[in-house]
Amino acid sequence: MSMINSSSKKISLGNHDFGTSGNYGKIIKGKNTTVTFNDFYEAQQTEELVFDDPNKNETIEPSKSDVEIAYERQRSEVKLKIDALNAKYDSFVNSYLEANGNNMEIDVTSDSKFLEEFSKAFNMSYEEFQKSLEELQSDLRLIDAAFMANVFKNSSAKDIFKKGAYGGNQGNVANLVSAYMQGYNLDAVKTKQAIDMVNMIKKYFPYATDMDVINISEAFTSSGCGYVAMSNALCMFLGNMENGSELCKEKFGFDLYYVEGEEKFYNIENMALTMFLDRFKDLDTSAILDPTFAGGTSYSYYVSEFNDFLHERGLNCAMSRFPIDLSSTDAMDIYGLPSFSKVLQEYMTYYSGSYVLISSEHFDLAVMDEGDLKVESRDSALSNALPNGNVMQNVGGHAMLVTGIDQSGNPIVSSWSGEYRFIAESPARYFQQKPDEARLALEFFQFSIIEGE
Amino acid sequence: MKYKFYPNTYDYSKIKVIGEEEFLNLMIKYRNDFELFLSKIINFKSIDAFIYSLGGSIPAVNDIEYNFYHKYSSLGSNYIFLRNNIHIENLSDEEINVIRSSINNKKVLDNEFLMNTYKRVLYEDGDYTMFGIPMKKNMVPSKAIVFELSYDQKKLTQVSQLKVIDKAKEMVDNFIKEEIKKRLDTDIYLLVYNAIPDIYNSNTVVSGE
Repeated sequence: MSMINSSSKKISLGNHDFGTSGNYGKIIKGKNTTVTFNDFYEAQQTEELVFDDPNKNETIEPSKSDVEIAYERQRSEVKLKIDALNAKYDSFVNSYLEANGNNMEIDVTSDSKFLEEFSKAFNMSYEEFQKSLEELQSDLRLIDAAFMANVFKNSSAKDIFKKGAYGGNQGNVANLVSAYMQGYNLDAVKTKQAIDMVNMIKKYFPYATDMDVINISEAFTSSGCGYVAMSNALCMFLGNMENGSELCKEKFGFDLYYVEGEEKFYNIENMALTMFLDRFKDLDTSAILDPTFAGGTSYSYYVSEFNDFLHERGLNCAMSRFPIDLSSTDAMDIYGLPSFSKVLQEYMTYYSGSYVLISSEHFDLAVMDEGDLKVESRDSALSNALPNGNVMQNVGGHAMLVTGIDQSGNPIVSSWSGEYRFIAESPARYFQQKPDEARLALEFFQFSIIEGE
Repeated sequence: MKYKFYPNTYDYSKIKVIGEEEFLNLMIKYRNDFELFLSKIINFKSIDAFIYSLGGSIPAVNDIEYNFYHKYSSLGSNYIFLRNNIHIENLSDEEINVIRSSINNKKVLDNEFLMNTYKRVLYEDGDYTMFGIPMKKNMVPSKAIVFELSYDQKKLTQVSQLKVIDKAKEMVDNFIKEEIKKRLDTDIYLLVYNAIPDIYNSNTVVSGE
């Protein structure tokens, strides 16, 4: 039984700027400016969606599993029924309008002549027709949700997104490195992880003093969200590959995960730290610790340096960024969430090895599982009670990996190794107050192996 | 001179009504006089001497222009700063006028005024506020007077110096809590800031040409 604690916590951010900054990449064929959400959705529907792939490497598509094939079949059966109903409706409306004068306007919910003819043609009332269409749409959502749940249950995701440690946490880097360097006791897995991180820092910065090692780990932590969000996805991708752990050891130079008892601990933070170190390997330690150093990620980092980092290791990442114009009326449609969640859901369930990051500034997160920000022990079933409080308000620039979608269409994200519900309407709300600062973008990534590697 | 108000918890629409430059002056005045009140309870300079006495040569953040919280501090300490945001916008017009006239008349705000207002001015909404990057160590109770113990970790040369800082934190925390709670009915929180990253440097209330 879940209990609602009367002192539910409300958290707001007093300071911000810990990560991503906007950088608008190429978006849709023929367009190079901010697109509205409807442009985005239509492009996706008509398969105009193209990925930025600056290096144009030959890539192979990951092969589909039996579960994926079954899912796609099940989904397309329902989708066909929906399309057939819609087509039948369109053709009925067209012929009705032709027969009754093309320019007329009718209210299809109350026009008695229309409703009567509709019932005859469809053998059901208009209301029943709408209901059966809604039922099919709901079936589609259930199929998608079941597939996504299945993807998680049967993939590395179940080891990466656990209760209490829902994805990586950039804070762990500073905490573990500092604790290890100061000689504090850590458990077996954390000791191995700390040693990996210290070795990685020393590999890239061989002349770093012990204090430098700690300070570099702090510098990473302060701008690590974009690296960790990406590392969650990359580790999940590697974890789902048959030889992913060998590949990680060989190409990235560390173990993909450690096993303790029956539990797997993915080295997400070390992967994120490695991306960061590799990016700044040509700098002096003092430059990384300089007050003006800006080590956060942006989309352009993923397109160029991150992809170089992957290419050197036999991987590729196709990507696409969709900044959402919060001033347009389309953004206000997000209040209703239909297109937003639909796009996310279709993308995440349709493409194998694909991931979505949300990059935003000024937004609200409802806490589902607090991870590192745990303030008290609570039943995780509390997530249903969240609208009453427990919201992190007005979060600053941040990047998060989307891990799912809740029943009302809000994306679920991993952040600071906690599970949060991204309140999809919130950026548009903050935009009203701070049009210069509020932003929201979806970033789509698809990993693959470079052929011949 | 232009001023920018970055922390997310400020109500910008009200700042615009008051005017950014005047808002900053009101903040500085209120903060200064509240710090004067706190300084009568605790001699913050003596905390510096105490930290020196622990050994370990803990480097302070030397740049007084560092950020709003450092630049306009009147506590007289190199290590301890009042870290709360100063929400003048939460006061009534009448109360804001009291601060205005005290600036014009070069008078110190009286204790009664400060006692009636400090919770509205210093406290944040909700239960917790993130003072810095979202990590547990930066999650501060919203309804508290928040001090910052800051030092420049980049200038440390020995890992063992970190233990001295932990010790300083524990002792200073206990001391200020005990002393201030004798006079004020409020929670006290001591935030440790190691100057990595310098996120407050350019992203808090800053002044710039």
